[in-house]
Amino acid sequence: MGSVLLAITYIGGWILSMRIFGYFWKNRKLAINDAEPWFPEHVARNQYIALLQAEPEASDNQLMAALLRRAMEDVVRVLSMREDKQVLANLVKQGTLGDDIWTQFTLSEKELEAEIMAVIEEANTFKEGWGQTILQTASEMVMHEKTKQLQKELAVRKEEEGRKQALREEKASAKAN
Amino acid sequence: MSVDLQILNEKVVCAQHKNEVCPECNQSFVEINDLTRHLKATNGVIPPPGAVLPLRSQQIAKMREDGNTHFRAQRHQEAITAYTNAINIAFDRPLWEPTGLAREELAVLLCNRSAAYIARKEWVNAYVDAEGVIELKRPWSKGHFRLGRALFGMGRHEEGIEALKLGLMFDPESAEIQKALKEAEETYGLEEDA
Repeated sequence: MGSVLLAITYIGGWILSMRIFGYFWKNRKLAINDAEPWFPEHVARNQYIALLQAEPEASDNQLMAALLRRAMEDVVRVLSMREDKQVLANLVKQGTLGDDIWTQFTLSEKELEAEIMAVIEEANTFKEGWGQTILQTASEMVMHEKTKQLQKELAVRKEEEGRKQALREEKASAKAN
Repeated sequence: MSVDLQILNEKVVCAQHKNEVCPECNQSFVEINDLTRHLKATNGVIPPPGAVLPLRSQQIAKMREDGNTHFRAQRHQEAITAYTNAINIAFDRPLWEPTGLAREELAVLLCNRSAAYIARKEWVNAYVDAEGVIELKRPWSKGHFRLGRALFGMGRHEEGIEALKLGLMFDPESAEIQKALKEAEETYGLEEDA
């Protein structure tokens, strides 16, 4: 009799401790996932995924274009994280910033790595070997886009400067009179 | 998180308002559509990084030459048109083509167009183009030279002299800048005192 009771208590104890452990483990996982992401929403990735599911189907060209935009955003994020890493490491070493920001950062780093792997995989589904070059192409595109923005800038500036110059000329002729 | 889009007439648009760029849905699909257009032109082939298809470069070079011919014949308005066409094509290169090439082309085109604007005394246009040249290729003394001329035209004499001095710093041998600087200091130096 006593030994049966003992056996039941033993097993019960095990089950109880498993459940307690499970409770704390879940909470830890939730805390990690709830940790604020380093970047806001990945719009380009969402657009790519939406395009994959579009009815009627998107053309291959459209999907490749969307994948390239997604890769471009990834490149921008990688560069940004590289800069941040230096600064962050110093601040954490100094003690100005807590460890939880560092954890947040490293988690986001891992996420970004996984995202890039996913992009490379997707690229290979369009063309064998594209995965190898898509990131290089995306890097070039990021730089090129900056040059393109100059075009809009020029138009805006012409208008602004035109107005400023008109004011200047008005003042100058007012002074002369 | 999910994006509400649809494909309309081969373009990607937002499902609710059928817009390429929709401030209400807070989405922009114009980048994807532009890229798609470029991919269509190359039949879905993305050249390896660094490669350039020669056709566009040839077009741009031809238009630049046309512009130069007009300029030399004092047909400045026609020159500006030719340069503008070349500039628009150069800005519309597919994004995967090398940035360096585009910047070189644009620097020269903007510099030439700036000269044409200066000849027509359209100082503001010349000024903005010259600033563009300097942003693309700062150590190129010609950009600073044009900026200086434009600033003088606008009545901003001090800034003009500064621009010429900066240009001279990058290219101390430049005869045209030396000449312009000397003239400017004589002319505008006198005006200040008067």
